[in-house]
Amino acid sequence: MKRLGLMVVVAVLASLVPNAVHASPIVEVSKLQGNLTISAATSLTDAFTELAKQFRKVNKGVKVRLNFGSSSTLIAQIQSGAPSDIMASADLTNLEKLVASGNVVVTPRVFARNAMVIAVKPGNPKSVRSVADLASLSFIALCGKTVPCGVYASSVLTRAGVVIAESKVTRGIDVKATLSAVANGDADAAIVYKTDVSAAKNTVVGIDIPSAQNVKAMYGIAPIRGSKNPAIVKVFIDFVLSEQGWQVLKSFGFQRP
Amino acid sequence: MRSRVDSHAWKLDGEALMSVMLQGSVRQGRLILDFDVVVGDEIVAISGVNGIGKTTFLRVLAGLLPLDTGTLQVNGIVLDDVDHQIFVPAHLRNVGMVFQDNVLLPFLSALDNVAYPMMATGVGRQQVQQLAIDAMGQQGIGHLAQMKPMQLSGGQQQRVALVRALISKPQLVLLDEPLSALDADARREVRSWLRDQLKSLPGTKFVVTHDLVDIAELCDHEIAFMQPQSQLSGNETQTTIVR
Amino acid sequence: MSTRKRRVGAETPAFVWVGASCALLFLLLPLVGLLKRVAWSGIFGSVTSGPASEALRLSLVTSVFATLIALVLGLPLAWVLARIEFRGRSMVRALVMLPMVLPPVVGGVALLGAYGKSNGLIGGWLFDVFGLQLTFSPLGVVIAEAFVALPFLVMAVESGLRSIDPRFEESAATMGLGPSERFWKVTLRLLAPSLIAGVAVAWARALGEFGATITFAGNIEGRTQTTPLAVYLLLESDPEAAYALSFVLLAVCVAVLIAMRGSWMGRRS
Repeated sequence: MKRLGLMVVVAVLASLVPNAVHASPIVEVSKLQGNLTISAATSLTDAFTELAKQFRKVNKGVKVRLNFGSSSTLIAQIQSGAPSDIMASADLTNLEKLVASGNVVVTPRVFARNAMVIAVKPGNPKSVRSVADLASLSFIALCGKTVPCGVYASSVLTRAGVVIAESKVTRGIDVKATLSAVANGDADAAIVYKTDVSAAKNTVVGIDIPSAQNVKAMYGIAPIRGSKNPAIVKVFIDFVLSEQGWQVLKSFGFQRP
Repeated sequence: MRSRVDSHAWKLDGEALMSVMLQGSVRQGRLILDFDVVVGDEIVAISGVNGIGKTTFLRVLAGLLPLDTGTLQVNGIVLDDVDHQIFVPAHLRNVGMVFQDNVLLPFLSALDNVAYPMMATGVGRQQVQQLAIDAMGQQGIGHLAQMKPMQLSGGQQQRVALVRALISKPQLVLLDEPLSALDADARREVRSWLRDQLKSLPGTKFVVTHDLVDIAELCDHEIAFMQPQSQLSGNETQTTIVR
Repeated sequence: MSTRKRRVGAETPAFVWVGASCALLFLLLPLVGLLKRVAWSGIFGSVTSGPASEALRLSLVTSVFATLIALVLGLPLAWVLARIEFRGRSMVRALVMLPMVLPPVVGGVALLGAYGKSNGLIGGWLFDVFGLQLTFSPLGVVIAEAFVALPFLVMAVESGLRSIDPRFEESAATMGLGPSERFWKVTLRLLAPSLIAGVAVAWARALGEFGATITFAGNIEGRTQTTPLAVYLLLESDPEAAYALSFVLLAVCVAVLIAMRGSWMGRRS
């Protein structure tokens, strides 16, 4: 009898566990109601769209609004009073600016890592094999100098000892615009995040940058002070930092921080 | 709507002086005009109800509107011949025209407006201006020389337009209600001036007018535009000789 | 005399006053806000050095050339649309107006499709035969600006041409002026107010162009980074310079508008 009872208990418990992706140990989360506005770096577009989707499945009462842009632009917006609840940045420097300006009052958490890669047109028509080859191209695309991926690209160039005249560089306002200059435009190459090249599928081809020249792009997330829904914010950030959240990020090409 | 213009002039001494010969037709929108006009070296009044085609007639003579069929000869020169595909455009016809509403160039002074027809000839600018001043003085509007058309009254504009039309001694004069904007006194004055001017010009002069006094005092001959009997219950075409 | 003055506007309904005041406020408040942000003491320094001055110089040069192109191409087009009747004329007119209603970035994408070196209709050919690359070049900026400015000029000139009483030209013909003489001496002079207004609007549009420029000509400092692009980027890194630049653009536009006053209405008032 006890065994049967035990088996029933186990069976019941087992049935409460759906497949791994939908693991939601906190049943009362679905009672959460409200809006959540997330400012996220452009390079997080696909990943955060999926994260938001999964979050919504479990928290049907929460409406998630995603605001993508270059991290530097988003920070400026928040400092000007844009009503955002969470900032997910492509670098920690920008988050530190928010801390300095008082918009973030907790320590930002690092949730993913990215690396840079050279993007070229399919078929690599200019036979680019290394960062050094970029110097001989007519025009390359980089992100704006104050945009995180632009800062990272500068680091890569410095580490590779390559100098490129500014008159050959077209600056994109965010990483997607930068990539588009190669995918749809006449730029011969761009330095962008690895994840963007994967996301772009067949429109560009990625040329790896050796780790000696490459950078570790650290992505951070933090709640914004003055949010109207701190409870929901906490749950979302925890979700991003959870194993489930990590699986999503991994599926889009991010690396463990 | 069809109008017919028939006019045959004859000089009392039997010698036909054919200054203008217009035989043909033209269509302007819903208006169809049939012409059969032979006129001599005289001042001809054109009368008729509004919309009947008087202005269209003038435009055909001026070269602003080509004929659809027929021919137009002025002083022996063929200006329009549909069958032989001859058409002399307006700027090549030696025509002096006053439009309804005068149509002075708004960006030129009255003096420059008057001088304009002479600019196309080779005459020097100074000379041209002098001629213009003199002509305006003759008509009593010399004091308006430097004013812009916008600053002139309707009557003053009309007088400027008249001087302008006649100054280059055109072979064919077309006046579309040239005294309509003038009050009774001015009208008398200008009419007599106009009569002298027109008489001194060779060639045919057409004057569209509703004013019976104009017709009586100014013109040798009248062509009345009318609708043909066959079309509507209008009258037959009529030619009136006023003398 | 004073009774007359008292009566001015007396019969205007109240809601018209309210509406007009709101409209004025709506337009002027942002301008005042901008002026407030400018750091007047450092403004000269901000705009005469670095990327800001490059951007200004580039903008002024490219917008003037773009306006010239719009004029040279737009005047004949406006003539045809205004004076010549042909089948499909209204379709052609609608197409000509397209760049005006198209989102600028879409315009940029379209320009890439035509003149892009990699996969434009004739861009590749231009590069192969003439070594000419329009993208990422100041010439590309001029083309993008001309593309968006042209419809404005055509519209102003076409409407100007239509409003000219044809009898002016006829009168000139009866006075012995041939077709081309009439065009230069009469038509153009009558057209002058509309032409000036069209040029001013086209120039202002060219000067402010952002989306098509950044998409087609890219964003290269000193080569294709025009003032609007520079302002956008400077807003993050050097806001003072951004405000200063914005003010300069504003001042230039205001100067042009004031010089043009009255011409909008077709006659000097």
